[in-house]
Amino acid sequence: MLVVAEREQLPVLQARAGEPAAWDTLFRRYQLPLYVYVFELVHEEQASLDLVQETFIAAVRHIASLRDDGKFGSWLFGIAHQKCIQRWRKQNREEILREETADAPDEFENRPDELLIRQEQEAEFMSRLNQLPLPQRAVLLLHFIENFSLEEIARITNTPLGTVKSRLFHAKRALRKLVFENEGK
Amino acid sequence: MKTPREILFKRHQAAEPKLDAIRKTVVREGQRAAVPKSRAADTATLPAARWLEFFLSLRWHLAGMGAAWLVIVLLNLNVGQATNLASAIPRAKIPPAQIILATLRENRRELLEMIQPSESRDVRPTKLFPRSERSYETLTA
Repeated sequence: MLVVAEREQLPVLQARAGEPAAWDTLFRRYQLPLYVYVFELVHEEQASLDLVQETFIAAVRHIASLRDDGKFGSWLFGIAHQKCIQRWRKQNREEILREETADAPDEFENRPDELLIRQEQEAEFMSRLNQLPLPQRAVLLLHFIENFSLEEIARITNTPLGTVKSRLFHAKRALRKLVFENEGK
Repeated sequence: MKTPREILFKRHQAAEPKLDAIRKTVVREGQRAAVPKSRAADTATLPAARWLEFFLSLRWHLAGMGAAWLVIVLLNLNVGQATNLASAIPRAKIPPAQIILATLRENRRELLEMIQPSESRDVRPTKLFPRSERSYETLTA
């Protein structure tokens, strides 16, 4: 079973010093989460692999711009998110990033493991996830994959906190419908 | 029952070997790019800094020595120009040594004639006159 380590100790300091072993550890830790995130946004295998590679290269080049070593993960996802946006801009597909959503209630459950899906629901889950507007999907993926906080997601997606909250609320509500609909059957 | 994370990761598990290859490539390339830089930093910057510090400590001495050398060079240039002028006279225009010696002897004889009175010259004894008359005579002579 895959479990996200709670604020694990990552060799960011050593990576800053240019130690290849440290970079290897960091990339090994984030390669699959990054790929999942990018793939579920762009839906092309080769493009996703290219974007992950570009993200890694940018991380090595710009590690000096990382202010807090404890935020390496969100910083890396921020790079990947920007790479995805650049790709959409090249394809003149910026309209997919625009989205109007209603406000979210002040308090709502936002634990990623609150949603448990049965094996027979998995395909339906993926289908529902892919039907979500892209900004909602991005927020939900970051929430599911790395359990990033709302503030971290806001930083990664360069979006106001209120917008992130609203997107996450509506995305989760859409997915929860699936679970409850199927449970009612 | 699975969490969304587990479903997503399971779906993309097959991409791991490709991701491993990408990771290795990036780490290798990163290492290749970083090693010359760090080596250069180790071998070049430290001695360079030490040399710079050494030269900075001697800057006034070096400035003084530089100024002295500048003066020497300027003086040397002037001397060179003078010797150049002498050497610029064509050899054909320089008279032979016998003529120069003869000319010098002639000049010497003329000078002696002018300084020493000749024996053949008529020397009249000087008369003493009152000051007023003498001056008149002198003026009219």
